[in-house]
Parts: sequence; C-alpha cells; structure tokens
Amino acid sequence: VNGSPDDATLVARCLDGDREAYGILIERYYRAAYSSAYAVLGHVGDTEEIVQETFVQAWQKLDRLRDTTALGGWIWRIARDSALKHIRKHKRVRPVEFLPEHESDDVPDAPLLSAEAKGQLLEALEHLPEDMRDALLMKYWEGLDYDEMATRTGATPAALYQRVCRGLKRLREILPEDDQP
Amino acid sequence: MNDNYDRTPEGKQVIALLEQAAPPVPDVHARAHEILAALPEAERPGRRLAPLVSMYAGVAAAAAALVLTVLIVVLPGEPEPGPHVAEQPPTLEHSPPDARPSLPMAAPYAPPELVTTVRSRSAEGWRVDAGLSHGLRAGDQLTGPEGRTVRVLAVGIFDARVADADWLRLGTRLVLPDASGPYLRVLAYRQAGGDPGSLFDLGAVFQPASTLEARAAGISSGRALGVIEVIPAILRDHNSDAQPSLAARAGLRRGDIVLEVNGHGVSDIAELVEALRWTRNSGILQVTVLREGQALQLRTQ
Repeated sequence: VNGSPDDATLVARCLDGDREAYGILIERYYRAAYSSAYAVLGHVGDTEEIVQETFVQAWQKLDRLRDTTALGGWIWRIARDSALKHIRKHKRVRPVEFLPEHESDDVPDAPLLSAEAKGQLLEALEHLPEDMRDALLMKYWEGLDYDEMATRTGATPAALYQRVCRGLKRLREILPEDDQP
Repeated sequence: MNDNYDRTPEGKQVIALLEQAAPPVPDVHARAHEILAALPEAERPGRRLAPLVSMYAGVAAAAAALVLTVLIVVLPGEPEPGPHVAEQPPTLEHSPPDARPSLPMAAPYAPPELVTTVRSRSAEGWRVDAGLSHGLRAGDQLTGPEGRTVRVLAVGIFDARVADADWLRLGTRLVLPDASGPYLRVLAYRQAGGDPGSLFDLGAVFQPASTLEARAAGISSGRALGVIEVIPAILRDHNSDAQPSLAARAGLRRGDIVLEVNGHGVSDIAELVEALRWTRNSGILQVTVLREGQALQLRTQ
C-alpha cells in the first residue's frame, strides 16, 4: 500500500531483528487481528490484550511462516485462536461487555445496538461457516475492499463477493426474527 | 440467487447491524508502539537455527526414512497413554506447531491423542476444528462422550466435516484415540517443511527423497522431493461437497518423484512453494514426475 515495502520485504527485515519493520506490519494488520479477536470476545479491553499477545506470538514464530503472502491470514488466525483460548481459560461466557464503549456524543449519529442484539449477532457470526464469517468481518469490520480481501485469502474478488452475499443471507436466517432490524 | 444480496433492503439491514456491532476503530499507530515495547528483549529465536538446519538438512533427509521406519515399527506396539499435548483443540495457525526439527530423535515418542471440538453446523453436517494440517483424514473415526463414535466425512485444510449424529453439539470434544497415523503424517510434513496452506491446498504431501533414490533417478545433486501422499478431495466450503484436489486431478501418485512444477525445476519445498505461485493464480497445475523410471508430464484438466 502507498509505496511502503511489501510483506515479504518486511518479514525478511524482521527476521534480521528489525523491530521498526515489525512496527509497520503491526500497523498494517492491527485491525485484522482486532476484528478477528473482537468477534470472539466482544470486549474492547480483552481484545486489546489479545491483539498484543497475538503480535508478540507472531514475532516469536515469524520464522515458521513460509509463505509471506499468507501473513494477514496467519495473524487473523492467531488472534482468533488466542481469543478462543482466552475465553476457555477464563471460563467466560462470551460476550461480557455490551455497554457502548464510546460516550454517545463521540458518534452522534450511530444508532446504538442493544446489548442483547449485539450478543445475538456475535453468536450468529460464530455459527456461520468460517469462510463466510471471515469474509463478512474483513469487509464490514476491517473495512477491506474485495481486492484486498483477495490478496489476503487467495480467493478471487468475485468469489469473495459471493461469500459476503451468502454470509449476509445466512446471517439473516440465523438471527432471531425479532432481532432483525 | 445470492446475486447482489448486499444491495437488497434485507441485505442492507444486516450490513447496518454488522456495522453497528463493529468494534471502535483503534489507534493503530499508538498501539503498534506499545506492542513493540512489549516484545521480548531477546533476539527473535529461530533465525539462528537456520544455518544449523541447512547443514543438517542432508543428514536429516537421509535419517528421515530410517526414523519413520523405526517409528512405524515401534508405534503400533502398545502406545502408552501419551502426553496430552492436545489437551486443548489443535491450534489453527498457518504453521505446523513446531516447524523446525525437533525430529523424533529427541525422545521415544508416544503419540498424543488428537483432540478436536465441534465448532459449527451447516446444512451438510457438523464442522470440527482439526483438518489435514493436523493429520486428520477422511474416514478417521473420532470418539465422543460415553465412547460414542463418529466418522470424518471430508477434510479441509484446518477443519473437517463429520457425519451427523444426534448427540453432537456445538463444543462437543471429539478425540482420535490413537493418533499415531496423524502423528506420522504431520511428522512427515514437518520434515519436508513448508506451509500447510500452500501444500495441503495442492492436495499432496511431500518428503525429501533419499539421496540414493534421487541419484538413482538421475538427479545428480541428490536432492529431490517424493510424493508420500495424495489427498483425493478437499473440503473447501462447508456448504458443498469436498472437491477433487489439484494433485488428484493432475494424476499425481504416491511414490512419484517431482522433477518440475509449472516449468520450474524443483528440488525442495521452498522451490516447490515458489513454483506453485502460478498455480495459485491460474488454478492449473503442471508437473513433471518420475514414475517407475519414466518421466511423465501431468497436468490438470
């Protein structure tokens, strides 16, 4: 993106111990890890903790990543696994925090979602096939476009669009009637 | 039928709901700083190993066949209860749990059981979170609570579909009690190195051929990759059936020695992964293999 070095170059620099290069990668994939973990945890504080753990882990295991084109997906997975592990460890029923995380004057026009509705949505997301869920989260939470999603996943933009549409449809089927907007 | 669902009124409502539930946008710059500060001080482990590993690569390749043979002899005996390495479901990282050669020379090894968890259900069946990259294969039988069993119908790279059973629930733990089969598969895979994403995606598992084998095949460098398993079909999408793998479609077989992939000479996994780039974009696989002394050109469709 905008002239900064590609993942492969940055990974190679990281492997030589260049932390600055890793900083660029963290910025590049922070939202990916964040979206992935938040979908499991539904809690900002926990999510930040898990995302940090994700990037520390990824740094330590970076030499095991053979295919640098898979970096984004790899980080996505580590974040999700760490979040699931976190829930198991703390025996916490997901999600625990549904108060609006920002004071409402921060986002004046955003309609607030009730805690219950948010809980149901996160629950419904968990019941989607993984590829659909990931596509929806990349698209609507992380804010990627279809080309970026294609680079991340190796699927074609057209296939990803299909996946998003099917995911939306499935989500609507799963959500309880009265919860639908 | 799914066409443009995102533009229908219903689709838009679901999108609005998703967007409302989205997490706040983090300040990535500040957070990146904090994370960098939290990285462990020591130099990243791993790199240091590399020269050592390549030095021993030849030895390891030669030893691999031997070690596997020994294991095969040892394992079926009386597997001990085994360390419960898999106390939690297998991790789904894009890398093998321990990529570099903690080869079995380390200790007499009793294979752990493979534990997996039911994660979701679709119209086609239940999905569990272990797949090809954990050594699971279609046909494996998993044991659930009270000794009830269920069979794996189809495998994806990181997950699998199991047959329907009325006792299955989200979160049910399923165990493959004697995981020596998966263990050997993952072991073979680890010895070859490489990323499960790109290799299982192809539908074949490779292992460095022994130097003698390679020389006998006329490869003077003595370095070559042998195919040790072809996975006939891979589950790509939980809403449909498993699709024939690229390797199966091209007609690759166990025992083949790989000479060229997509026109590039290939003698190790790194070269293979590189040569597969084109396949990833085109969906076409061209392989030249040595089978029973004959060079053979294979190609998908």
